[in-house]
Amino acid sequence: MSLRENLASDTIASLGTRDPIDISPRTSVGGAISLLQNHSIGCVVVTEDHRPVGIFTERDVLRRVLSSNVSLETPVADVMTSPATVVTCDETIGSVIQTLVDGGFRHVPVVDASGVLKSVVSVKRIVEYVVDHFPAAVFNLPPEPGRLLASREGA
Amino acid sequence: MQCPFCACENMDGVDACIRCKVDLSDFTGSAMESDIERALLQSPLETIATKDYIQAPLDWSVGDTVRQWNEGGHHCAVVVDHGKLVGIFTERDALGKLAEKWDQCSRDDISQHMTANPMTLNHDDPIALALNHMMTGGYRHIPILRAGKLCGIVSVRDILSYLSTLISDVPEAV
Repeated sequence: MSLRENLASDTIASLGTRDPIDISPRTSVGGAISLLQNHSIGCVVVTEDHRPVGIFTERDVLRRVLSSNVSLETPVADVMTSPATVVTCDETIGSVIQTLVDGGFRHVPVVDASGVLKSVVSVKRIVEYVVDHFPAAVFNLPPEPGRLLASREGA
Repeated sequence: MQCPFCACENMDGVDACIRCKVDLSDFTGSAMESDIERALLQSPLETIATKDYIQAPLDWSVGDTVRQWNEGGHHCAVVVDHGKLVGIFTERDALGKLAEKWDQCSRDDISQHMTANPMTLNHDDPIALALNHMMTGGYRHIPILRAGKLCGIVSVRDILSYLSTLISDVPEAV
């Protein structure tokens, strides 16, 4: 199937996304930041009874914590983005892309039919999904006939 | 089939594009059937690159740079020295290395914490190539060069927005 067909039919469940890391609204901001750093993740989902009530992202750290001199002892509930936009497991990947773009999100929590947190979809995972649709040879070919890829310094 | 690189129409079954000689054997089958794959392969990065980015000198402080981000809705700064791209400083740099030492690090020059000599792409490289580098290198922002000079930035969000537009555009029936 083509990418267009797959985007319209594959669901989030088919992405095999990672288990989410969730925290209580009473978790300290410092504790939440440590989770982001220790797990190399961009967000933690704030839940009550396993249902998302907010999301705390690296962008929240920069905008609402570091730049505002908020104490690291502050409950994350005071600085999280709430309510969190969520998607459901049975939504298509095309639909999730629309949600990510419309909201300007890098991550969106995924819930089941009863609203329980199941996973988190990231922009990074969507990129992997799209790249998987191209033959590997695509990325080894020169962009213009006769022009070789310039050697580049890596970051 | 249509060549994914030069868009030349070739007869089905040919091994190489009649115009650009690219080996087409890897491009047969479903991977090239959709207009979305073709658009990502044939559209140059300059079509989606943003020119609204922060260009910072080496001695901007980390704190000032983050304030600029927050005021302008930006998420990274390209660092230039005498007009030449020398580094990139992103939200991840700020968070990953600095969060616990913010009081001290916010006064540092961004040159101390930037990623030096970042990976770049050319304005006429295909969007798909940037996607691949974002996946393999974990980049969210790639500086775009024209004739060796910085002409824009492409973010993973720019590509996702483009993809979203492609999804919304229903192709004409053949």
